[in-house]
Amino acid sequence: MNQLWKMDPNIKKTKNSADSANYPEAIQSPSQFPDEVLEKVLSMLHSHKDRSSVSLVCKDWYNAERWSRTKIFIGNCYSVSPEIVARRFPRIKSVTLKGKPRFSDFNLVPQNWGANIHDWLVMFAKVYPLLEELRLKRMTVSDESLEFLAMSFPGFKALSLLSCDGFSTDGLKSIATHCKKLTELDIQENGIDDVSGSWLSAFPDNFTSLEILNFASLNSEVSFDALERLVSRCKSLKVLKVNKGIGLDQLQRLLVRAPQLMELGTGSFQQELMFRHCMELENAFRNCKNLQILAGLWDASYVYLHVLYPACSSLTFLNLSYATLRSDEFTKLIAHCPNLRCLWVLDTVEDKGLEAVGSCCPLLEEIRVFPAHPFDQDINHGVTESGFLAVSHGCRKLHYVLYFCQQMTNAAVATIVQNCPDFTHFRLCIMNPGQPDYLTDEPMDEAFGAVVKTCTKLQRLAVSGLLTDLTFEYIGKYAKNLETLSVAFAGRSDWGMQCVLGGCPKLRKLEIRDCPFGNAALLSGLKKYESMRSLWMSACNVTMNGCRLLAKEMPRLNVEVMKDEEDDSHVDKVYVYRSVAGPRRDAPPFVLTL
Amino acid sequence: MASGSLGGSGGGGGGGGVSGDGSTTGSMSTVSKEDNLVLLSSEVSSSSYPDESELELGLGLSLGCGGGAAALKSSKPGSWGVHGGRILTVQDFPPSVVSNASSSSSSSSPTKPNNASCGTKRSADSFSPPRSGVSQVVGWPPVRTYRMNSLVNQTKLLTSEDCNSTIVKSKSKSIVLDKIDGNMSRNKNAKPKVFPKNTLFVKVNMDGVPIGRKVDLNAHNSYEDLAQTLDDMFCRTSTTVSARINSRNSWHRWDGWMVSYTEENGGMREATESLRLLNGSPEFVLTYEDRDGDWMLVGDVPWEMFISSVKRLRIMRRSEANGLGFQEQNERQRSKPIWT
Repeated sequence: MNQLWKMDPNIKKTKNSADSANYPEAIQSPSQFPDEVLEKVLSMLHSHKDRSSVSLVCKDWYNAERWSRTKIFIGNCYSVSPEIVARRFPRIKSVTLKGKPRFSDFNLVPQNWGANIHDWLVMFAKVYPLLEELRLKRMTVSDESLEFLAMSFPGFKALSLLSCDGFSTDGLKSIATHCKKLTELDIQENGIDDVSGSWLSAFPDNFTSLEILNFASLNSEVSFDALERLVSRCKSLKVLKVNKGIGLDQLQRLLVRAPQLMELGTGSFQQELMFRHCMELENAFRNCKNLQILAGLWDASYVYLHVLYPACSSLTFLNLSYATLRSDEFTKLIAHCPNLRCLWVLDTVEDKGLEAVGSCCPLLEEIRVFPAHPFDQDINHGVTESGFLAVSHGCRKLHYVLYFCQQMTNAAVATIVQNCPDFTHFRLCIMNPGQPDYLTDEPMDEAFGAVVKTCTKLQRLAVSGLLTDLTFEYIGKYAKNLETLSVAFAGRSDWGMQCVLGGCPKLRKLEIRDCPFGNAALLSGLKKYESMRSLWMSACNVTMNGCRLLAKEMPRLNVEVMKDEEDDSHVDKVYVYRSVAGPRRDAPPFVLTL
Repeated sequence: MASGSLGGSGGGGGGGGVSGDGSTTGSMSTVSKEDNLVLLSSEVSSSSYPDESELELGLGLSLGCGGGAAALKSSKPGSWGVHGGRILTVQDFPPSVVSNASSSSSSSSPTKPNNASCGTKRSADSFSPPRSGVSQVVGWPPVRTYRMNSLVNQTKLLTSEDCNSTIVKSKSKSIVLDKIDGNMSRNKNAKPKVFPKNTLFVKVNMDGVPIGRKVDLNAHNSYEDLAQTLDDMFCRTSTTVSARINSRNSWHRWDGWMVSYTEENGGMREATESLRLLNGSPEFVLTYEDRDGDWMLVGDVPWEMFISSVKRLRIMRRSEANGLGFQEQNERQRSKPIWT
C-alpha cells in the first residue's frame, strides 16, 4: 500500500508505459498486488482527470482503472465511439455526454447536425444493463430513444437533459411510466415539442423514489392533483422546480407537503392572492428550513416577494433571471439574503440593484446578469460598468461572472480585477459588437489584458467589444490556465489567433465567430488541436484549401466544414476536433468531413 | 456571402433552415392576422427570397412570426433549434411595415432542410434598423433560445399592463385603438401563443341551455375576444343575446354583457358604469367562478388576472345576477325579474 501511494497519479505521464527507468516502483508494485486490491483503491478516485492520469501509468494500472471506473464523462460525443467505450469500460453505471458545439445554443448550428443519442443507448443496453444515470447536454434525443431507455435499464435512476432537442413530452411519459427506481428527472431548457402535461400523471401511484424533479422549462400545464400527490409520497424529494403553470396558492400546498426541500423553483409568482393566502404562503416558506436554492419566480410581482423573506437568510443561490424586478424592488429583497454565494439576475435591477448586492452579499462568488432587452440599444436600460464595479468592491470572493452590458471601460475592468483577482470565469458581453471604451473611445484591449495579467487562475474567458490583436497577444502571453476562450467580432488579423494558439498551454476549447482570422491562423494551431477538445470558427476568413490542408496534415482530427452555399471556396463554419473514432458516419449532407 | 451585415464578415451564420412543412403557411397566416409583433428572424434569414428587397421585409416578417409559431405548433420535434436566433420587437419596425406584413403570405416553399447556410444575409440586406448592429446579427447577443423566448413573453406582459391603464385614460379613439391593438398583440404574446400547446379550457354554461360548452381562454386575448367567441357558441335570436360587430375600427358591442366599449363612451368601461348600457332587452350577464369558489362578474379585473383565477364561466340570466356575492345555490332558482 505504501508503494502505491508513492505513485502520485498527478505526475505527468508519457504514453510509454514500459518506461521502467523512470518508475521502478511502478513495475514492482503491480506484481505484489492482486488486481482486486488495486481496483479497490482506484475505485476511490472520482475525478475523471485523475483517472485518465492513472490509466497512463502502466498497463496494469490501465486495466485496473478501466475495471473500476463506473462513471464516464465524454465531452464530445464524436471524439470516441460507443464501441470503443464499451470495449474499454465494462462496468459503467453513469454516463455524461455532450454533443453539439456550444454555439448551437445560439442557432449557429443547423438542424439535423447530429449528436443523436440512440446508437449510444443501443450499445449501453447491450453492455451496461445496470446503467443508472444518463446526463446529456446538447444532444438530439427522440421519444423512441427515451422509450428505449425506459424499457432497457430496470435500475435506471437519473435522467438529466440540458439544452437537448428532438423529443416531446411523450418521451417523458415513457420515463415516468417505466422507470420504477427513478430518483432524478431534470429537464432544462430544451427545444422540445410540448404536447401536454399529462406525462407527470404517468408516475405510478406506488412510485416514491423521486429526489430531484425539474420541469421548469416545460410549458404545458400538468395536473396539479397528480403533482401534489407525487410530492406527498416522495419523502426524499430534495429538489423541486415547477413550471409557470403552477400558481402561488398551489405552491403553498406543495411546500406544505415538502418542507424538506433544499432547492425550489417556483412557478408563476403573479397570482392575485388574498391576504390570508399570502400569510399561509409566507409560513410555508418559513417552514422550509433547508432551502438553499431558489429559482423560478416568473413574472414576480413585488407585492408577493415578502413571502420569501423567511427563507432568504439561508439561501446560497438565488436565481432571479426570469423575474423582471426593478432596482428598488430588488434592493429590498436582496437585503434579506446575506449568505448568497451565487446570484443570477436580469439587468432590470440596474446599477443600483447591483450596488445593493455589493453591500449585502459579502460572500458572493458568482454573479450572472442577463439582458432583459437584448436588442434594445437604449442606454437607459440595463447595467453599466458601475454596477459591475460595485459588485467587485463589495464581493471580494467573486470568481465567476457573466455580465451583459451596454457599455464598459478599460479602467473599470482594471479596477474590478484588482478588487477580485481570483476570477476563474470571466465572461463579459458588451452587447453592441465592436464597441470601444465608451469614455476614451479606445479598444477594450487593456481591459482583457488586465484580466489575464491579474487573474492567474483564469480558466474561462469570453471577450467582447472593440478588440485588436493586442488582446490576443495578452491572452497568449498571460493566460496560462485558460481552458475555454470565446471570441466574437474581434481581432484585426491572423496574428491574433496565432498568439492564442501559440500561448495558452491549457487551451481546450476555442470558439470564434465573425473574426478576420484566416487560413494562416487556422494552420498555426496544427500541433495544438490534438491537445484540445475542439475548435469552432464561423464567419471568419477560412477557405476550403486551408481546411483541406489541416485535414491532410492531421489525420487524427476531424475537420468538418459547413459550406457557404453560394461560395464554393469560402467556408462558413468549420468545426475541428480530435477523435479516436475517425470521421463520423452520421454526418448530414451539409457537413463535409475533409 | 453576406453583404451589409455588421462587421462585414460573413453575416455570422444563423439557425437552421426553415422548419418547413406545408403547414407553415396555414399557421403563419393565423398568427400574422393577429398582429403578432414578435418575429423570429431565423426564419427571415433562412428563407430564400433573393432579390425583392422591399417585399423581403414584409415577407420576412410574416414568415418569421409564422414560422416561429408554426415551428412550435406543428413541426417535428427538434425544430426548436431553428428559430429564436434573434427576435425583432416592435421597436425594430415602423408600424406601417408590420401591418403590411401581416397579410402577406409565407410565399415560397421552405428552403432545403439541409441548408447549412443560415446566415443573416437577407435580413441584413433588407433594411437598416434604427438601432446599431445588434439587431442584425443572428445568435447575438449570446443568450440561449429558451431564455430569449421567456424574456419576450415577460416583457410583453409588462408592456401590456401599461397599455391597460393607458386605455382607460385616453380619450382619443385612434390613439386608444393603436394601443389596444398593441395590447392585443402583446397580450397574445404574453399568453403562451408562442407555445400554443398551453390551453386553458373552462366550462361555459348558459342558463336555459342544457348542453354546456368549453372554451379555451388562452386562445383569447381580451374580454371582447372572449365575448365574440361565446356569442358565436351560444348564438340566439336577437332578443336575448346579440353582438354587433362594427367596423374594424370600433369594438363590437355585446348587449347583455357587462363590459363593452363603444365609440361614444371612449374607453374600456368599468363594470359599474356599463350597467347603464344594459337597458333594452339585455337578458344575460356573463359571470365566472374563481379559485375560491366565488361567483364574480366578468370584466372587473385585468384580463391577466381573470385568466389566472377563473375556473368556469356562466352566462347567467340577469334576474339571477342581482348584485355580487350571489351563491351557487341560487343558480337553479328563478327569482322574480327585477328588470323590466
